[in-house]
Amino acid sequence: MRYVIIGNSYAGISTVEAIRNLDKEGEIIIISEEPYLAYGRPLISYWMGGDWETKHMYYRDKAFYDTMNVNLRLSTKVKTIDTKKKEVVLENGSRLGFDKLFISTGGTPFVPPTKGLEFAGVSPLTTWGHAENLQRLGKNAKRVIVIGGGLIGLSAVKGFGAMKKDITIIELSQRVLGLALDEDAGELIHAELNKKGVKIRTGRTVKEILGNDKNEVRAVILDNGEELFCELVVMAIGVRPNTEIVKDTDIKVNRGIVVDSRMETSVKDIYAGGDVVEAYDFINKDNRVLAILPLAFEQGRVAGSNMAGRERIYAGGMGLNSFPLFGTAIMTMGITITKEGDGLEVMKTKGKDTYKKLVFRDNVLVGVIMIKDTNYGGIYTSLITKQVKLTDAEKQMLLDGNLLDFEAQRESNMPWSSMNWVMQRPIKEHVTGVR
Amino acid sequence: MPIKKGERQKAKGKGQSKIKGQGSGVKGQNRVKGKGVRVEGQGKSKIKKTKKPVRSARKLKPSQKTKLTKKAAKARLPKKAVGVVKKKVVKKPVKAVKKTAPKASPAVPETRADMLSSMVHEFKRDIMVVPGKCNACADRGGPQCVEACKKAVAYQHTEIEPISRIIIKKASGFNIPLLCHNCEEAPCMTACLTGTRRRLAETGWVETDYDRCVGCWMCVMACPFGAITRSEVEHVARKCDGCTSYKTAPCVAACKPGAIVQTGAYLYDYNKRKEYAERLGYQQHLLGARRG
Repeated sequence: MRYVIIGNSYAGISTVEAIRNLDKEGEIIIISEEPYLAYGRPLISYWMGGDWETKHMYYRDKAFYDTMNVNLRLSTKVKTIDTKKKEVVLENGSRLGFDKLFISTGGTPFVPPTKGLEFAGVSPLTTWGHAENLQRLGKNAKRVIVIGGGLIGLSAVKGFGAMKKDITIIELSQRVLGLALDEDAGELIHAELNKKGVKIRTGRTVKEILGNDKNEVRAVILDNGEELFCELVVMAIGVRPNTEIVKDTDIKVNRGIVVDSRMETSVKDIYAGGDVVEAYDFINKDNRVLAILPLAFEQGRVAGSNMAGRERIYAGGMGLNSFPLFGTAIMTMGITITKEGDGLEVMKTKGKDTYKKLVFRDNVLVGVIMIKDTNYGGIYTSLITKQVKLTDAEKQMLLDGNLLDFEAQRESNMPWSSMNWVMQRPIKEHVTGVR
Repeated sequence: MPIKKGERQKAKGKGQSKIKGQGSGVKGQNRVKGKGVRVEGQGKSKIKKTKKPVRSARKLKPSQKTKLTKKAAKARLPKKAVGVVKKKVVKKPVKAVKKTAPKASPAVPETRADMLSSMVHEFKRDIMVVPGKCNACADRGGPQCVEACKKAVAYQHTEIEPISRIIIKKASGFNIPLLCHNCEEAPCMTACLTGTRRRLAETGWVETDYDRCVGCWMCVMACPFGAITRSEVEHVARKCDGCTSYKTAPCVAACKPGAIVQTGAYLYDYNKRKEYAERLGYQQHLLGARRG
């Protein structure tokens, strides 16, 4: 049995682990476009800013590939997949047969057609290569313009903030992290960014990028005609699924690669996972692209298990993220932006620089925003994923009580099955002996 | 049980026949008694092995016990038996012991890592909570496990006061110790973006190299038990890493009420069955018959 895995990041690694759990003998080949071992992708902004050492970048070390008995092919590009012959066609023309294939090509940065993209100093920020490039260019730069205020944009802000640059964010919507944060949370984050000297232009886009006679970036022109001078431009508008290699094949692609509950694509024996797929979202109850790290890992695990012959179903995921921006931790899960008349119940608390918002649908928690105070946020996550019906008292406790108190309450009411040998009996029965 | 009985009977029978044959009187009898005792001893040691996890329910030191009993079985007993007896007839039970001993436990782990890895497979060294037993050490001035935990992890904290990995909360009139449950497919491991929080094959625990923790709080967002604490000053997420360098975790050693125990699959199973057996009343019956 030969397993071929395209992509050497979170989804690919978890697939390898899942396969090796069940199949110790099969041949595993990982093909990666990049020249590095698996590295922590979100760490590139920390590394760029000099807060993170190179030796700590690697997600798994060399020994991992040896113990897992993986044939790792770095700097190898896949051109297309021959689904009939079950072969992967590499860019140098050679072909690689497979019994089971896993595609986790991830995402590519989305760059809208703009004049002046060819100048030196215009770069996206999604790979370590980009970060290396930006770090090198950043040494001579003073002013940086970040186009897009999403997670990648804020990562870039964090990296350049550590490099003490003069940063301006240009964001089309009314606030940064517009997909995850509501107005109140946005205000807090804007205040935090302003405190650090980061300028934000909301509701604006870049019309044109101007260069000098050395083909270096000189300035950008906004849609209102304003001209902002800069030495670097980071394109961080968004990421699209990297479906390049499956473009002209039988594999069905919508926005991302379409997969079923076993993470199998429309072609048998070809699986996919990670940022490239459209997987089930259990909150919105549809399939969509959720480019989120823990979900990629889970999808890889499910796919790997199915590839090695043990059936496993992907339960679904939800949009969730945790992001520390300077001193302010941001945590968002599920549905966070509500409109009037959508039948969602909202509870909020607001402190001086903290904010907490809970969103309920039919007494089930479906969304959370936490700013600054993000302790024990996983308890919310578990309530959302398990779709627990909550009483009003419990809701209030979740909003203003300590989450650990809630957890202790939950454990004391629970039949003690998960933790110890007194199965099926609530704690009260155990202590009093009354059954 | 039947092995033990059989051996004892055999030994006695042979001894008696010897006395008759040799006619050496009191000395012979003494010897025979001695042999009898030793054979019993061997029998006991065997039973100890099979029931080992049972006996060490409270202070579990499986590693130590296996070592001791195996040493005893291998080194001490055969020598003595051979030295005293020197007769063909009595060698049989000794041989029997030599044959059966390796079957019960195939290899004696040489190093600590070997021992732990065998424990992982055999015992799954886990720290678990016995419900309702925690009294938050009201008589000893504060929870002792928390103190022990702080002491054990103090070396990790240079900037701040040690953070206890166990938190005791009161709910519905009970004290509930909250700590890491070492999940099989741990969400914190899944969510970790640096790969520092991962299960180590040698210890079986989800452990953390805090040098590589970047403080993204992804694991805090993923843990459903609230077992991961955000240490904002140090900017790392702290969690119980099982104290796998200790034979018995310090919190377990410090827990007098027996609310936090170090246990594994065998023990878990045994105690569960014992609970059910107690409900049936078998144990009471047995104890009554034995003690008269």
